Amino acid sequence: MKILVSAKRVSDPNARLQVAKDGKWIEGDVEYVMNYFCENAIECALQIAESQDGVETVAVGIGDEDTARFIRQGALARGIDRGIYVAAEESEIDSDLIARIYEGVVHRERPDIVLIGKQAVDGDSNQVGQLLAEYLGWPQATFASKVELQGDEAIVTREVDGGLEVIAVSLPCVITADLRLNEPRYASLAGIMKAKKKPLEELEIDDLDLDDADPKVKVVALSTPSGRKAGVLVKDVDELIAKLRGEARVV
Amino acid sequence: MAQSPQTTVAVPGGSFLLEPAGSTPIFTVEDFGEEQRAMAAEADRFMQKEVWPKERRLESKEGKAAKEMVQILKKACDLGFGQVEVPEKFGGIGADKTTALLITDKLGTSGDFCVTWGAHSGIGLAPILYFGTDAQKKKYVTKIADGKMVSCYALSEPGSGSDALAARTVAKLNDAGTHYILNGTKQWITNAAWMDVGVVFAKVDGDKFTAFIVERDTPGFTIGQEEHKLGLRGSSTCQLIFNDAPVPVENVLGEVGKGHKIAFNTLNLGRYKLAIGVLAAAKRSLAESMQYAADRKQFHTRVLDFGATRDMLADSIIQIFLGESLSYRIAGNIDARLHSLNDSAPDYVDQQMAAIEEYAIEASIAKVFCSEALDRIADRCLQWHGGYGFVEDYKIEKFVRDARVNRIFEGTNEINRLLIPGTLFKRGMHKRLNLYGAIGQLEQRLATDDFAPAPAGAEGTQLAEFALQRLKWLTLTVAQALSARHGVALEGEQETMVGLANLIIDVYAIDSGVARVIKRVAANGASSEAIVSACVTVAACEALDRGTVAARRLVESCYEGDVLQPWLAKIDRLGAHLPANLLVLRRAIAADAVAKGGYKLSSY
Ligand SMILES: Cc1cc2nc3c(=O)[nH]c(=O)nc-3n(C[C@H](O)[C@H](O)[C@H](O)COP(=O)(O)OP(=O)(O)OC[C@H]3O[C@@H](n4cnc5c(N)ncnc54)[C@H](O)[C@@H]3O)c2cc1C
Repeated sequence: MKILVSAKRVSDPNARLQVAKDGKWIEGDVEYVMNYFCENAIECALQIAESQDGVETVAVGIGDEDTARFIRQGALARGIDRGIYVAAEESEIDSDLIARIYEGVVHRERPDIVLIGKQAVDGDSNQVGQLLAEYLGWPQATFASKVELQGDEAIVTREVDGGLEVIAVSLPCVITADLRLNEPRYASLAGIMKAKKKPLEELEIDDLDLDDADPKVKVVALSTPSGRKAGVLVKDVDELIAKLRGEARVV
Repeated sequence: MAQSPQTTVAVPGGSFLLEPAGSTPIFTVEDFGEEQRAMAAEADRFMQKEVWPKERRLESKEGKAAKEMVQILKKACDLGFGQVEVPEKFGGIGADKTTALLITDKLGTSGDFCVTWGAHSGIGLAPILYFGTDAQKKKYVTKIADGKMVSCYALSEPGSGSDALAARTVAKLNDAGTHYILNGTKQWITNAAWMDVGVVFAKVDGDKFTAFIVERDTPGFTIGQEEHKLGLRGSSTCQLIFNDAPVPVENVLGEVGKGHKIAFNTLNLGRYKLAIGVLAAAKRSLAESMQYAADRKQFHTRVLDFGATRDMLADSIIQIFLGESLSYRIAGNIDARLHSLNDSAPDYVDQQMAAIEEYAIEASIAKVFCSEALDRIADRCLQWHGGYGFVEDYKIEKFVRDARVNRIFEGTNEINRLLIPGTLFKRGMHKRLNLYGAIGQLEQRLATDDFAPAPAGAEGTQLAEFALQRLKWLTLTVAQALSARHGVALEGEQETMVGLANLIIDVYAIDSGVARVIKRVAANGASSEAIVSACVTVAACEALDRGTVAARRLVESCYEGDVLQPWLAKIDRLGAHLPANLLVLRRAIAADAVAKGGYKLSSY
């Protein structure tokens, strides 16, 4: 069995981002961390690999040069067997193109499961897994909080609005990982040192023979959230209700 | 093996005082490679997830929390942090000193864990690692490194702390010649409640100072009550009590009567590690307190935006930058020496210890400088909190409590201060260091050069370099004056020794900062290093102001009348008050920190 997992870097959610001069991207001088949901996907793949023999795990990262470091330190150091890095300008790819790149990698690797973070905590698009399943014509199980393999099926518990849904999808399939799926492990120092020697293949988008390698979404402008407006003091409950009805239109 | 690139050379310890800044390259955190950065990031993550959220509970040490620290310690060992300095031969990683310091740094952000970890994996392990027989290493090293055994280090006693060799715990060989029988009490032993094994010092026959490896279940050995401490309450500190406790002869560590070698070398190793650990705590105090000061408004102004706050902030940033520079420099220097050793030489251990001892002056400086920087920074951070700093709702009160003991253990700061000039003079006398040659050269210079009161048109780090060089010459002059006046009796003149130590500490801190800035400017260009350049300029100019006055007072304390005048004249020529608007620089340093949200002059 072969499992493909996503390894994406995101700008540290706690960092202060600044819009770049062209107004279309962020300033490069920020700290990056591994996307939280990718960490869950990686952990899930490792647990499957530890629970049965003959599982190969492969981490895929797409983006700027530094992405390779995240594949090595975030995935290979934790125990993923090897990595594939696809070089791309992060400001020039959208969710659709990322899904197509994954599709290209899937055609080369022919995995049984693609485990992807449900979304990246930078763009928050939440689209890649779904698009990929569509392009591959594979079943998908999104927002997974539990994954069990039974024969040629994956039994996946999904976090849906107001509860949990358990579904069975036949392999090969796409699963997107949610936060409660597991508690991602740390990389041990030995793991970090071993990661250096693990294979990490580097590809260009051109190497994947995509039919369509154009992004569909163009970023027109980025802006920081405007500061919150000052509140007003109300005299009494009646005035509050009047304002909620009249001005805010929430009741 | 995890190793830093070799960026530095094996300079003699103490030579920073004699040579111009940056004359030999120093190791800086900027040199760390991807693998080391990945290790650091994991250590950082570990602290933030496993330790920070549990700190208040750990302090209570009640119920479940009593065992929680040990669980955290074991988890850190599971990730391999205990194996950093263990050679590959014993299942470790065999990392170099800079890499090991990096891990200590990242694991240093919480006082309770930091001291627990240091006692276990540092002073509790190092003596066995370096001085143990192969059999002792096989038996204990892997178990300690893997966290299967918790370790401790027991030197201090109720009656002997600074004067550790005056210990009264005794060991006597039994008639069968199989065991040493230990009697006595060890005091202030970190990890006592949790220890499975410890390095314990006792005097064989009451006079031969010796180290022993003692296991928990030794008959006649008991652990005292927990001390109620000002800080580090999440750590364990108790007495170890020995009442006719038999320790097998094969557990003698090193040679009988040579325990002092183990005790002092362990201190040399521990001091610069303590330094980096406390700086990590200072960075965290600053980050959390800047957040508070950014949220709190008075007079419609953020507390962080008051000039008075920013002034303290600028000071804190400068101190951290210098502390970081000097601590990693020491590790890099030691590595450069260790690197050239042959590990199969019969006296390999002695050579390793000599490599570490070479930087004993620097290690004492690091310990004093960084522990005092932490106290000052934590105290100011508390101040920014106003009344809220005085209650337990915020962690700053804990950071302040935890900081204090760092000036007491690993040799009190008084003991370390006295060691600085003491060791320097000793090495000068024994010609290990060309101290008196440098004093002679300065003497000649004074005869020929006219020392300009200030450099013309200085830019970038030139002002700092100028001030630093003057400070070095002033320090040499004071050293010359004091040793001419007191000779070997100088050791008894503690006030004077401390005064000289303060000058030397300033020199080393600023020299390390300047050398680092020079290196960074060469790599990245002056414009992107303006803030660090401002840091060393402010530090150097202010130190020269202080140093000029201090130098006068020091020579005035030991000469008078006609003899005094030439000394004062020299100091007046060397000393200077450099015309510079330091306020502008300080404001820029603070504004940069505010814009970036904390100490961000390095990223590693
Ligand atoms: C929380 C904590 C944990 C500790 N952990 C350990 C541990 O794990 N293992 C261990 O062995 N020890 C440990 N210690 C002990 C520590 O190392 C000693 O407290 C320290 O060495 C000082 O000794 P003392 O307390 O006896 O003070 P003293 O030596 O009595 O010193 C009192 C004062 O006199 C000054 N003084 C002493 N001698 C001189 C001198 N020659 N010249 C000038 N001034 C002098 C000192 O600077 C100090 O200000 C720990 C202590 C604490 C508080």
